[in-house]
Amino acid sequence: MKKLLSLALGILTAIGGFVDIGDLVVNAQVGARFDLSMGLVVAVGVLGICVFAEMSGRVAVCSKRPTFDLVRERLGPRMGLLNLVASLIVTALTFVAEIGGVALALALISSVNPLLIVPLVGLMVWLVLWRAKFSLMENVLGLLGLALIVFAVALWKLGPDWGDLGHQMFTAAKPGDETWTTYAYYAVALFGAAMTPYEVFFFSSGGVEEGWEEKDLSTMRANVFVGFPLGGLLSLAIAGCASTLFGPLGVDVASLSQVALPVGVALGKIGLAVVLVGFVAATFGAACETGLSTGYSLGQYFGWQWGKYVKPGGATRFHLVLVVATFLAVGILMTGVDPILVTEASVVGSAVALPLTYFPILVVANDKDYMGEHINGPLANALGTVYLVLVVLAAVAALPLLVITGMGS
Amino acid sequence: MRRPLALAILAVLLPVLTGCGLRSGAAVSESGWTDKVDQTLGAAISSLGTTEVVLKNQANGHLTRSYVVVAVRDSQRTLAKEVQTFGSKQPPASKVADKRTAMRALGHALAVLDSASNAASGADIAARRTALLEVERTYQELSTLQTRLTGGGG
Repeated sequence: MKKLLSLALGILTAIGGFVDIGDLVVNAQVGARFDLSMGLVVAVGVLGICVFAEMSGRVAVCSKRPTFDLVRERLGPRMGLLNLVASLIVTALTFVAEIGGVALALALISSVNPLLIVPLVGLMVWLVLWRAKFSLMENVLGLLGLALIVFAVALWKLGPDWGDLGHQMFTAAKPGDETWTTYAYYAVALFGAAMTPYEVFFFSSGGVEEGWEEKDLSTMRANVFVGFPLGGLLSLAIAGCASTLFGPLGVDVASLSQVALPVGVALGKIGLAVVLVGFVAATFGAACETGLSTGYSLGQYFGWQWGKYVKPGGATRFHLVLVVATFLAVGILMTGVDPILVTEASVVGSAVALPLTYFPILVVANDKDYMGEHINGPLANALGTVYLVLVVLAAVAALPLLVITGMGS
Repeated sequence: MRRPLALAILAVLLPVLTGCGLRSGAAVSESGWTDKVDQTLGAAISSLGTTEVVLKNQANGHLTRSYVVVAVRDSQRTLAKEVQTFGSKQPPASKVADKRTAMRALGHALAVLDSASNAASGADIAARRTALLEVERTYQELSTLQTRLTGGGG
């Protein structure tokens, strides 16, 4: 019974923790402009994150060591450094976007200028990273993030033509007034948002922090293969809501307030309150995850003591990185930069960094010395290779598409 | 060890910086101008459309006051940014009059959103109703103007 409860809790937190500011914004933007014609991109992205999260979780279980540590050891310091720099830049950018997202969500509740909220959010995130227990942080924020299920209820209440939505999902046709380059840009952004590198590092580092063993493999796989796809359905519900409400009006999504609007229209003040709680939980949870991931990546590469299971006094450099990263993120946001713009940049940046993040994981998961009997099987390798080709294509296309389309405008 | 890293950083930064350079250019071709008009009027229609939905649902009691204030303010900010960029663009000689027309319409749209923002944060129900009607009317006018200036449905 206890194991079943722990399994359910893991799956629920995986669903609630799947969506972050990038998913919220990009799915709503894509839904408003392209309806559900990019539903398959979400599905492909979710399968991809499942493949690599399972792989990195398995690496953590078998080696009891985190990803960056192994990448540096297995592929050498140069490759490790490249891997570190690419993912650190994207993770730090995502951290800025998430803190900005929390501030925007709190502004929707209080109508206070987000700039005044940003320092408070930075302080709260740092306090949680410093003081809160890892499991408490993960479970509370993950469960509160489940409030975003309200998007599925709102979609049902908005009463779209379900046949039409299904048809859009499987035909991948672009609207007549959009160009193929814009379509491709948003496809890459959506793919980058679904496969954000920090998710894999956080997942595997969390596994090491929680001391996963072989008996935990099935729980880990259930979290990944049930929780993540259900989280992906939330992404589709967000896109479906935006498509149903905004599509006919020719409205583009450029702010977080617009992402919440379909829920308010469909379910009134209660729905609005629930979705705003979901926004705060999802972005705050992701801010904690990305913040920790910056410390994890540096700590693991340089071989410092790291993690929340070590007292702050025993992992001073790790905690110093968290403080500096939070200060920098708050500082950047205080310049007045639009957090939505940072979010868009971070998801495209994710797409660029994907090969450098996922290639080493595939290599390590094929090393018998680390993995023993849990080395990658033919299916994991086939999927891993196919996704490696996809992420390379996305990485190569991301920046030219960003320039050509003027960030999808 | 440093060389590949520097090359990788350069490979990432170069297209971004080049892109920024390309975007800030002043000379606009005729088709580029039409795209810009389409994008800016589209942004105005989007901001007005959002505000229309927000005000209608505020009247129905579906949205909280804090949310309405922020949502209308967001629409204003989005449009103001687009108008600022559009204003700095130099149209081709044959489109100077079109730009004047578009700028006038955009200025009106900003004023309408400003009134809507004031009405939404106040308690005067009649003012909110007037603001909603004005938003609806401007939305229609801009849709027509977009079709006229871009020669399509936008």
